[in-house]
Amino acid sequence: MVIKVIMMFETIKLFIKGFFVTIFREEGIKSIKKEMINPLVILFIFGFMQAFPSSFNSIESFIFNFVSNFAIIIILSMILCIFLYIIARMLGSKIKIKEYIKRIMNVFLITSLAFIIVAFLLINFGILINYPEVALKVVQGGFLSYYLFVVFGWSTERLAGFDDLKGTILGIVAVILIYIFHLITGLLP
Amino acid sequence: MEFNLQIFFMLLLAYGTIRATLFFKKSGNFLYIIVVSIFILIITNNWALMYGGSLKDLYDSYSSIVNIVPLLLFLGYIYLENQKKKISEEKERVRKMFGKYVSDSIIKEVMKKGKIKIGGERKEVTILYTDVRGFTDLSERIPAEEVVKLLNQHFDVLTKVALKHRGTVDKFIGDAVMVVFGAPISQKDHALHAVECGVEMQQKMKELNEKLKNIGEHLYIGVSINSGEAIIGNIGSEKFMDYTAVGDTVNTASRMQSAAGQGEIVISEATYSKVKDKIKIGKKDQIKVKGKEKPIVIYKVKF
Repeated sequence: MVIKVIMMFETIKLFIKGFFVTIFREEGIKSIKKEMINPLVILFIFGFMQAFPSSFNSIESFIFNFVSNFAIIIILSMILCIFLYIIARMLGSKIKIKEYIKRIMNVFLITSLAFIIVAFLLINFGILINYPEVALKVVQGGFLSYYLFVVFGWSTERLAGFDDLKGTILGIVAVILIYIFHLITGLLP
Repeated sequence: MEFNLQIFFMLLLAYGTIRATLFFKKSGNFLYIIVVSIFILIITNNWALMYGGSLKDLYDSYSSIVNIVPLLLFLGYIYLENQKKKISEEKERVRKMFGKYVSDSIIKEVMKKGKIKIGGERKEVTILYTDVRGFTDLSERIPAEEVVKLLNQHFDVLTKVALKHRGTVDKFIGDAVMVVFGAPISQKDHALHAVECGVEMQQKMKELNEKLKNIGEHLYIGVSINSGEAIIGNIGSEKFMDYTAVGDTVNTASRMQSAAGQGEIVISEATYSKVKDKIKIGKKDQIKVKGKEKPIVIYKVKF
């Protein structure tokens, strides 16, 4: 029991340390590599966070939209992970598919959470200084998302074990794919 | 949400900017900073264009902020230069620490990998011992200065061969040399490297003896090799510390010396199992060594 609690704390500590990727720090990459959370759990949390419908008329439509969004997001993120894995292998990475997908799912979750946390803080700060519309524009204008896309690209290449020009190619592909992912999920109800 | 080519273009440039900055941090190459500056200018210009202005308008509006940018870049450069200096100092420290024992290629590898455990670690290594045969007789026969000169000549030859085969010269014990293969940098073929090193050592000793013929002297060595786990690290007292290997593998290699005649190489069963398909093996034998209840199996290497 004690060991389980210690391991849980250790996992949480590693997950929190993983947020260092958002400022391009290697500590974040190292923590994600060591992190032991089940990838299915991560995928589920990520899908859950992203699947909330932006429009619905009734509770039925909410549930229907939520479930369909959830399924589409899960499928799309898996396709994205597999595509990135193929590119990484083509570029010479020796990483195993299960390991890579687990790491990428971690980055998905970390960047999503980072977006929510920063957006929340920004809007609150905007309200505090009486400029909520400016804060809202920063969040909605996409600047924050685009920054996190760059974080995603960098994490993708570092987690595949690259730190050279080959990695940059993988990073650019990742940025393009996550942008497309962002556009598609933007179309969801 | 629609696809926006301008945003897409800026996104790629932003990625390029971050990547070039990180490359600069790693390598210290100033060219990356130029790339970063150009990318930032293009991004800023595009951003301004998206809102109906231009880079010049932006500069006019925010000239004080824009003027700070070169200063910030300069400060960043100084900071990174400082970091680079610290890294090179650390590398120099590693070079000083290991330069005496290992080849240049291993030092480069150590520096490239950044960190190695010098505190102590258990590693799979191969230990090679050489010992001069009939040294006591030689030291009694010729003057001390001559003995030292001869010994140094042979140490010089053996060290060069050991470093060539990626060995770490651990220590000289009287007329014996101990070489470790597989530390500080792990090697897959440490056993094969050790055996090849032993063979070349014997060949070089033959060449040395050709030269020594002029003064009527000769030196013969016996080589013993054993593979297995050993504890590697900086071992010693606070004032006197050595990067060395200790453990049963080391002791056995040393004790196998007694079985190696002049010009011979003996290897243990553990080493044999790693190299049997790659080298020619001669006679198999069993010897009794101190500290082991059962006799150990040894093989003589043909070369």
